[in-house]
Amino acid sequence: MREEKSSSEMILVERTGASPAAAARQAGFELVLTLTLSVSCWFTFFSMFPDPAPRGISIALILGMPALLYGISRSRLLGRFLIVYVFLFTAVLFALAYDAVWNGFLVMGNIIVEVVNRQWESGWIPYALAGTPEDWALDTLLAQIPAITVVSAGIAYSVYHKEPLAAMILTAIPVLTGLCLRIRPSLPLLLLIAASWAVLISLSAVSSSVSEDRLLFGRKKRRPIRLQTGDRSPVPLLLSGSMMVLLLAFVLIFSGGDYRPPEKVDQVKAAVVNTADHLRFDRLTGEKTRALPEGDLRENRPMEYTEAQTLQVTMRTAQPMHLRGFIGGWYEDGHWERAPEGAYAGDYLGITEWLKQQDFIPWLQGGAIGRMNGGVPFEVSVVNTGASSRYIYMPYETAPEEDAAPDKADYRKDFGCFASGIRGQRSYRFRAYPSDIWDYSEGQLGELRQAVRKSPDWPAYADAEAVYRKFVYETYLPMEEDAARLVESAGIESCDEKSIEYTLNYIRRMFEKDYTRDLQAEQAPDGEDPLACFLSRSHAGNDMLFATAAALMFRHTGVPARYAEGYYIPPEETQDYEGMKDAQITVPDSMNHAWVEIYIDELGWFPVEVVPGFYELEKTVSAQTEQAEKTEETPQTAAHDEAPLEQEAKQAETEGRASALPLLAFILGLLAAAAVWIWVGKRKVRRRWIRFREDISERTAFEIYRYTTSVLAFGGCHVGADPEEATEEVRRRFPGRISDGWIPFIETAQRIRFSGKALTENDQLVMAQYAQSAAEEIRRSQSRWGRFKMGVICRLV
Amino acid sequence: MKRVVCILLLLFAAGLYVFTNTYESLVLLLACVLLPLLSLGMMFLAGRNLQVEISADSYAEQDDVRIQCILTNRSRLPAAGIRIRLSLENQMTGERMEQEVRASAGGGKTIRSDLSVEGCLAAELQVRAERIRLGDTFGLFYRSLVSPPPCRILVYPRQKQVHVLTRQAAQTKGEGDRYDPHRPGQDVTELFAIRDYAAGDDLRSIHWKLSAKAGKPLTRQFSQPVQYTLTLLPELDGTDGKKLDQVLSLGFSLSEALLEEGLVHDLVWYDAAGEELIRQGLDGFSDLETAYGRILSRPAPREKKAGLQQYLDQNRESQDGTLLYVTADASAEEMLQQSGMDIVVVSATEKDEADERREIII
Repeated sequence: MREEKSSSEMILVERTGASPAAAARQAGFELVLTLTLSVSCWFTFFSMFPDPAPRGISIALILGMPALLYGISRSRLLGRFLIVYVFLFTAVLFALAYDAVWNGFLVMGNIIVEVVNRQWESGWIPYALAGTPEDWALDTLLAQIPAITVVSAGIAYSVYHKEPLAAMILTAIPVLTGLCLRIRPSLPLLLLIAASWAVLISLSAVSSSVSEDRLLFGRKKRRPIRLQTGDRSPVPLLLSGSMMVLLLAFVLIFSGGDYRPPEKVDQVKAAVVNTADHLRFDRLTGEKTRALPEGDLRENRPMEYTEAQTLQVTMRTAQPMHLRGFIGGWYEDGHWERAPEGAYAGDYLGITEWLKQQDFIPWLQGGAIGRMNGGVPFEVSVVNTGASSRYIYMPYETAPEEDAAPDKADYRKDFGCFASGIRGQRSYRFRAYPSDIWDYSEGQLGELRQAVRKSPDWPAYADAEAVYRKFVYETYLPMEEDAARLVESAGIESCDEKSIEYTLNYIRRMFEKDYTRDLQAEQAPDGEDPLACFLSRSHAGNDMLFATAAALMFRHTGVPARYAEGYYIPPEETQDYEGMKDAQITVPDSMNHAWVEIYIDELGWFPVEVVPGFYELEKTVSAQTEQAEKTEETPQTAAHDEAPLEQEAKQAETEGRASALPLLAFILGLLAAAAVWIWVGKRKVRRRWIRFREDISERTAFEIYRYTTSVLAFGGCHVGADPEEATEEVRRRFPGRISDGWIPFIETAQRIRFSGKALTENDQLVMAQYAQSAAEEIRRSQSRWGRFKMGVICRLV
Repeated sequence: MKRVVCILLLLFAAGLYVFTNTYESLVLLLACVLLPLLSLGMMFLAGRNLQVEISADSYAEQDDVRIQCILTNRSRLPAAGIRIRLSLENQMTGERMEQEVRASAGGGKTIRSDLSVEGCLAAELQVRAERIRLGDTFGLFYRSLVSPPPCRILVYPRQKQVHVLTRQAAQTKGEGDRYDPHRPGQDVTELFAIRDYAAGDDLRSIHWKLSAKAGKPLTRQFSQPVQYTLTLLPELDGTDGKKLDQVLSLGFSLSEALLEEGLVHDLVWYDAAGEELIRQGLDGFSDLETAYGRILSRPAPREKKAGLQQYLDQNRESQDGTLLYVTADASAEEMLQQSGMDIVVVSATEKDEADERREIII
């Protein structure tokens, strides 16, 4: 009998309900879905990370726990307190075996770390584990119990109450842990869990919830009525089936093995990261400042500094500083990465953590050297007003104190000191040791090395430094093949096996001579490596390009080098504060600078300037220091210094030769032409004599006459047509043998010309002999020029 | 909420793909995109051939109010997320209730489902499908469907056992606009009965035509116009639905008992919409149903004792007979004793309602 309602509230209820058979069918379906969710979730996880626990017990847990909890959920009495049971069970388990359970979680964590390190060389540090490896399997099993229980409770609750969110979140956590770490799961299992999620959502759409009416923000929320029918809804199967078909088609068509990560996606990722970094670390309001794009040469656009303040540096003792920010350890595809991939994995797994335990922080190596050198640190405070708040900008000589203490600043590996906090840090204080070495000087650095070796802290430091040095040489010497080819094209091979100073000088001279620092230089065309464009074509660019090229050149010659970016306070900014306390220096954005840091054995990273203008600037200011350096240079160093001068002389000579070559070629051409001319002239003379003697003819006789008159004319005796006057002239001019033989010659010639008698061989021979003897006689009587003129130019003899 | 979760999930999947750039994360992202699209397509195709009807009987007992929901899916694809927002409105009290009904209908299936209204008060109930939406499986997308016309159910008051004890016969006073059902009169415009001619009957009363057909003289008896002096006034107070229901139930049961006793009477009630007192004579059960049909379909007054006040204003000078005043207000009896009028207060308070059998003495 229906209960009579006395309340005035109307309630709408469904009179028809599902049949018992349909309800049982639905319960069976839900149980299968519960098991499928649990299996696909955990087996996907274990397909990425191996399960050290006994397999049989794991499977029993994965199958049994969700089935049990789903059964409890269906009970009207027990199901209401499902969350309480799970909480109590987990709490009791933790209370009874806390150490073992926690150790089991750490074992699973180490398995994840091991897989990630093996696959991606990430360099993650495993957790320290308790017990022996034999105990770990049991510990892992004990850790799996609460994890599987919680996930199973979420699955059971979601399936029974048709509220899919809890199950989706809880089952997604193990799967997404692997996917986020880029570990490849079993694809069929991944598809299975995706299909299970789809079925769960579909179930919530087509099946009635058993949840009671809830109070939502104090308002009673009326539960919707679900019209039940005896028919099974095809929606879950239809949807999951369709999705499986679609995804399987995708998987079959586009195999995972052929997947090539699209560059566009990486570009999107970079854009997202940059945007997030911009929002976190850049000053979003106030005056705009410009900054270098953290080693990304592809973003290297013309720089238009606003001269707005970026840092306010207050130091007790004024000295020039390289305030380090971004450090690039690996150059590839036009940009610097902080370190090569896998640098901190393999043999060097945990190296920076170990070094930290030895009180050796690579970033503060300069400070350690300053302390061992007996320096007294001075206070420095920095207020970051416009630069990126991600970095704690500090000089190389920073002491590990105050805000630079290892427990306050985030010294990440060996490539940076990062600010803690989601928005970074904009104000900090630290202490720095004074430094007298502003530019690379092997002499000064040698003295420094000798001085610090006397420190009592040296042995411990040296032991740690030796380990780090090995790491540095193996990490910061290699370079990408394309980059190596690029710097080879700049002729850096000539510096192989040479000293650091020689290489530095070589690079500086090359840059100063052939390259121009141009902040307005345009970006490299799309698709072209900015460094290649800089080295081969433009020869102009900003600090980034110079520092990049120089860092790679140093590496090529065997010197570990890194690209460094930050702010440089030059000596002319600090010299006005000499002898004063609390120098307050405003650093505008135009002091944003890139330089190279090279690793000096035992002393650590040292900044060197390679950008034209910067080292010249230092030389001018510290001329006296430089002069002192020169006088104290060792002979070996001096010899090294001379080498470039010799080289220059040879180079000038080579260049002189190169410039005289056309003239020489011209002269040689002339000489060759002259030789040819002479050779042809001699040949002509020789042939002429042969013809005069062998070609007996009037024509040849007349030619002999003309030749003889020419020879006489060359000797200054111009004979006319009258034979008597000609004879008188020859006698007067040549009183010797020439005049003696003239009369027979002229008579023979006259006879041939006017008597009509035939020319005899003897007549022609007489004429020829006279012509030859006269020519020889006149030649002998000539000066050297006359002989040259007669023989070469006039070709008479 | 689901949309927010879905957008977050999509963003997460996209972020996972962007940050890992792996094949597996791409598969997951595609699943997140394809599934809702697939569901959306299915929804649009199924929604083109989906029809929703809401029906109910015109009259219903208060304890047996039923509404039938009929979903006809002529498409071959299933309609996963049908959501109907039903509203039920009590026309007397203005009480309104909304209830969401969800259903899914397989391809080519017709779903018939009976819903019952519990806790329903006596009144005309208007049932309307305010909004019908077809959603996709994930509840992310919806399309509206045409709502069917509303239906009305007249829910009669629950009947109580009432026994009327009369101290005297029903009295009439002068001529009225109704006729005495028991006695003939002289009003020639209304025929009371036809009987065989008897000596002494007025010849003008012989029904000649009928006498010719019957072959014997028949005499017409004319009706007697009277004005009954028994009036029933149920006090309708729309501010308290429960009390109103008690008054309606008792008033209805009392009228029925009076009619069963042969006591025709007038039913008087205050119509809030017309701001007037309406009087209807009840000569039989059909009159009773008609009168209550009018009462139940009109909004009840929001003022207390509005009906009594109107009645007193109209009859203070000359009261015609006895007034049976049905009220749930316990203080009404004391107040009316001072008025000096012939009014019988029939209490319909909770205490009185507990009695299974009421005896009312007139």
